[in-house]
Amino acid sequence: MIQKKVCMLGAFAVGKTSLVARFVKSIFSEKYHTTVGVKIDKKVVAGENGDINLILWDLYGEDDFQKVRMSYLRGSSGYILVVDGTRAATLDTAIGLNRNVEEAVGVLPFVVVLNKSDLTQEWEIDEGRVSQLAAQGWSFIRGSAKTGEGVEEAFQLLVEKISRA
Amino acid sequence: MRDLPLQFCEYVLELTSVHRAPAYFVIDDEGGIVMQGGNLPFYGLQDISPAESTADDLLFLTGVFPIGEEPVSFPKVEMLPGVFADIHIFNRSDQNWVLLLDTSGEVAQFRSVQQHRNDLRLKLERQNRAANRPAEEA
Ligand SMILES: Nc1nc2c(ncn2[C@@H]2O[C@H](COP(=O)(O)OP(=O)(O)OP(=O)(O)O)[C@@H](O)[C@H]2O)c(=O)[nH]1
Ligand SMILES: [Mg+2]
Repeated sequence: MIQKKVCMLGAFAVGKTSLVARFVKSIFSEKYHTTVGVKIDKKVVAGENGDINLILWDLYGEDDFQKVRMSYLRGSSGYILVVDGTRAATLDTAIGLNRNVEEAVGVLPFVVVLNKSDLTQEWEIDEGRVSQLAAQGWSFIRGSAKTGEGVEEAFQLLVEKISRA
Repeated sequence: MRDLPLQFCEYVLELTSVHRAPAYFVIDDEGGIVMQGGNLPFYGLQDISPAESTADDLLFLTGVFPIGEEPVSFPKVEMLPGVFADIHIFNRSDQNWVLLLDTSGEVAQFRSVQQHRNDLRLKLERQNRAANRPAEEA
């Protein structure tokens, strides 16, 4: 079976680990356990030309003290950029990360998840900025690792982009 | 270790083999496992065998080959719950050499610092938002 490596990228505590847990094991936990280094998971998904074994690299979050090392992206077919919809600054982190990836490994397929969509009251993401980035070709999916909304769709969309790349 | 007297080289090797549980694979260009050894069970890799497995069974190698002149390294990869490896991949004599070194102790220490720091930051961010919200609405 074809294997494709996909990295989870984003600021700390945006929900990278939770999205993988929801997608792979259909579970969610409110408790926050930060990721150190990387944890690798896998899940078989249907691709346009048969099944694909997705190898998911759940990386530690980017912050001022710790930039994400681009060497982890080596061999990646694409990535999911995760933004916490309740923390506007995490969109800036995602934009910066995307720039770093494009400089280090070139242009790859990616999908942006605006995560924590269940927290509508606390939503902070500016729709204007989202439309602007969408106009530049960014694909956004509003989702929630807690309710499961948008999670399958996000990974499926990435797989489609990878198949077409 | 060009400039180091042999005694130091030997000592560094000893330190590594005692404290960092080295394990390795040699992979050919078709993804076949040519050779393996070291402390593989430590990383949960005891069931990998050259006869029955290929590089595809080593998920951390997905997409990395071919390796050019530049070695590739993946620091702090979780292999088993609580067991982390620094993974180094390099090309020598037209074969791919994969080395795993234990870094679980360092990760465990670092984890508590990072968890504390991130919890604190989230709390500060929440306080700032709470402080700013009423002002914005007014
Ligand atoms: N309400 C809500 N909470 C979420 C959602 N996704 C994640 N969380 C919570 O957000 C916190 C951080 O989630 P993680 O998945 O650990 O975030 P991460 O991006 O992996 O964090 P690092 O590994 O530190 O970079 C946890 O307390 C989760 O329970 C979501 O969709 N809705
Ligand atoms: Mg995480």
